[in-house]
Amino acid sequence: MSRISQELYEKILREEELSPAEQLALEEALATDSAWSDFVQDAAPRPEPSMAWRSQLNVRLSEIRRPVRRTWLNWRSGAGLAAVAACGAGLAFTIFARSGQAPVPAMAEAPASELSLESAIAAAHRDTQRQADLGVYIPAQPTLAAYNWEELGAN
Amino acid sequence: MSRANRHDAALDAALVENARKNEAEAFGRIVDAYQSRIIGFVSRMVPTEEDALDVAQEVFIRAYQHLDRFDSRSSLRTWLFKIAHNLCIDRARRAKRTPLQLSVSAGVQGESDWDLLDQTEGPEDLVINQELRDIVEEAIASMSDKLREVLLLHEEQEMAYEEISQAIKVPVGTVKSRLFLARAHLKRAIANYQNGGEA
Repeated sequence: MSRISQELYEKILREEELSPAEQLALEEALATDSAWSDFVQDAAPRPEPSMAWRSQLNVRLSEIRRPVRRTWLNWRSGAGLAAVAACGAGLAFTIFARSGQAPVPAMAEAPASELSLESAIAAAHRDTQRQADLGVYIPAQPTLAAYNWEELGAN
Repeated sequence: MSRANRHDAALDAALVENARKNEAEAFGRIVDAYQSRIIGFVSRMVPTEEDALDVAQEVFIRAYQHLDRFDSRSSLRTWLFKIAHNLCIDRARRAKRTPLQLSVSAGVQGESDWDLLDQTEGPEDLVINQELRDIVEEAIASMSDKLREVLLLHEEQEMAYEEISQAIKVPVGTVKSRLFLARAHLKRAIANYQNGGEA
């Protein structure tokens, strides 16, 4: 421990306010005498908590129902998600109700220039489907198709 | 920082955050990290080991209950020792020991103390044997609570002056003064032991 005046020592004892010079002297005394940690740590063994102690603590902690922290942000984000989900569900319901039924997957459109038997059947099916969607029925117009009978006959 | 006191501040913050979400496991890890240190400190601040274990449990119960009040301005360690300090004071008041009424000079009175400070060498020159350990332990036990807690927080828990100041709510200058007196008290006890006297 570095030299410290008896006057300063007594001021420290009385916990009086120290002048800057005295504070400096105290700082130096503490800094030059800093080897006490190991000494104090080694002086006595630390009592170790037993399993029983820890179990008892766990029981006491489990009995505490600490309120979960609910911030305005958490409330807002939770409510916001619910609102978005509700809007989505409402929109889907409205669209579904207006259409009257679930949309039927359309058949692949064949090029109009392709005058084949397959394309004629597909076109007739699409017309019927559109009429059904609109709730009306228009007799299908006969489709003029130029078939290559020779080719068909060849098969 | 000592072997016992190394604990990552970022890990502490994450554990607190998880414990705040009512994750008992996260709080359990806080207990794991600090139980030995809290018990070590408290056992030297209250009269019996039974009291120490009881107070240490109470420290963690209070911490868990008031986790929302913890802010990151102080470290988790400072906060836990602050709770421990307050509970030790409460316990002493209930036991009518009134430690805060004691002068800091309790145990370091008399002109001869100052003389001894000048004559005695620092602890680095001492061989620590069991007898000396007992002398030091007795000296720690016999000093006033005000000196003892500062000594333990600084020398055993290796807390900085500012951290101790936050934990026990006294100015930093007072922490330094008390630490000086606590060391002086230890030196007196060691000097007496070396001179064949009693602590």
